[in-house]
Amino acid sequence: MSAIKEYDCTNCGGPLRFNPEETNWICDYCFSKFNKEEIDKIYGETKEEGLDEIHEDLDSYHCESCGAELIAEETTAATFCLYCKSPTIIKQRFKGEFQPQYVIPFKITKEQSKEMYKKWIGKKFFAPIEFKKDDEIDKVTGMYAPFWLFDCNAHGATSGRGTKVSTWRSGDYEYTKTKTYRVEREGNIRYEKIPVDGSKKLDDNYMTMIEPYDYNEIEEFSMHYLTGFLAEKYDVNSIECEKIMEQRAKDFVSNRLRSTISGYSSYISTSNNANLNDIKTNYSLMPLYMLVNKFKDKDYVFFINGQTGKIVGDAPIDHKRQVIFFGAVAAVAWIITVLGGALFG
Amino acid sequence: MAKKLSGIFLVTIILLLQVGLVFGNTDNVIDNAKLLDGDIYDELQSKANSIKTIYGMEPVILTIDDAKGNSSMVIADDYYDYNGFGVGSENKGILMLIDMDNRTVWISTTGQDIIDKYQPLIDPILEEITPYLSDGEYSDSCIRFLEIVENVERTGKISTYGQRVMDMMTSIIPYIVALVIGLIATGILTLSSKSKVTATGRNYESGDSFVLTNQADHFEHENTTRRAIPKNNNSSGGGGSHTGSSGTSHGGGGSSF
Repeated sequence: MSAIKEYDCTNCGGPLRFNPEETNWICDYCFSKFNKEEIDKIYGETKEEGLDEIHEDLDSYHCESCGAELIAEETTAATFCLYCKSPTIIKQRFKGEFQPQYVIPFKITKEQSKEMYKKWIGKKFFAPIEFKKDDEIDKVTGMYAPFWLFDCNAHGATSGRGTKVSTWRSGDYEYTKTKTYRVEREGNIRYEKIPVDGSKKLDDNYMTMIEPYDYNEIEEFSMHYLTGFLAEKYDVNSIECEKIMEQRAKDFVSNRLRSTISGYSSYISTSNNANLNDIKTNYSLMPLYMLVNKFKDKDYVFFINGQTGKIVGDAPIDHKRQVIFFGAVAAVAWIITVLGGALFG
Repeated sequence: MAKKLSGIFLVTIILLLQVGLVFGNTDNVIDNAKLLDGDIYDELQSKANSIKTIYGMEPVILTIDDAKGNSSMVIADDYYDYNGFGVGSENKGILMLIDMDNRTVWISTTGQDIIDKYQPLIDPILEEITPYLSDGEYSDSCIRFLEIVENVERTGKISTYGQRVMDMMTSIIPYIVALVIGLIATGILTLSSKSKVTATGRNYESGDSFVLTNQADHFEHENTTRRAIPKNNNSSGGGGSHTGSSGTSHGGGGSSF
């Protein structure tokens, strides 16, 4: 039994890739298309032979298409052969605790992501011109990122002081009445699939900004979806991620309770607490496109949500462009003020 | 009674002034204090004539060095009335008095639309003229006065558009405005380069699972304060419409130099 899995076209033997546009599999060489039922029939369902066995992890693999030896980083679970570009899935890396329950398949193709990114960076006025060039944008890579999804019941309580202020006039005086209230709110709420990224390499802030994913399109995990994309397995375990999730969930509860307090001129919170129970954890792979650009010796990373197309990243600011823009705006404003002021002065 | 007497007194003074017409004085430029250079009279007179013809109002310039105890306002108003200046039934016109005795410059307007038109401009006009007088440039002050009258008659503003553009270019205000707008525009575009979090708790809330188990708004106490509303003290500046001894209303104002 092979340690790796490659998807080959039954018509011509060429490599198959998952096609986000039509949610099917397409052959690189003869363009034959296969839908999920057909792929399942040819390659079997997710829980197939030997997936639950734990084998010793291998440092290198042989590409089944060209025989080359691939060295894969510890967390890489799906990749491409360096030489023949065949998509390769390292089955090993999906075994046991690393077997995901869910996956959201790619909805946006690489070409589409490039177009979206091009438009997005085009709007960033102060971004350096190099970032907007096609050969830079070409470097976009599609990958499945490891996420922990948490369900939980949350209970929160908050209290504080609110004031209602009214003013009126009578005679020569202006009256101000301030009514003070003690406000309490307490409630329960259930959260589902709060995501926390499980990869040390992926910046947590960007991963939060790339949310939300649309869970209507979440599927039970199948390795088939991965062919043609990179995939990483988690290296931050669920216990650590649960702590991050807890903080987020507690903030969600506070905000939800706070949104039920209304009708006050001012409100100050004096106490706030929340707790969680019945926490369920699931491991899922989520699609995203990644692009790394260098500017002045610094790396700038951009992420595109592979399902929704949301783009996050901090475009660097080319100071020359900033200064020129400032100068132009100031000059125009000066001219308008001089001519307009003289007109009305 | 006192008013009537001072009125007659004044008329006498003015008639005497008429008798002692100084050589060089022209119809609209009466320089009893001898402040102006000889060659300026013709220039001022022809300017005054053109204003009178084109705009239907009569500008007059009067200088004195002895007020004989009267206020500049009274002298200016009465001189205009008793010498028959003005165009039309309302005697429309404007007179500038340079009173070296009181060291006051006074502008007197006659005719309701002239009064109304110039009243809001009196202070800016005086601000323009007074520096010339303080520097002893009496001829220039008269030339400037007639320029101002012509501008006001033609455009409603004291200075021409070109003059105002020059003023603006040397003022600091456009620079400040340009700086602020430049900074705001650059700031907005810079901040829009940053990415934001869009997912909220609502994205992960399960259906209608939100239930409030306790909701209380307990009234604690109430507090009422009051403050007295300050009264408006209307203080209006000097000038404004008033009636001269001849019965004609005048507008105008003055300032010392």
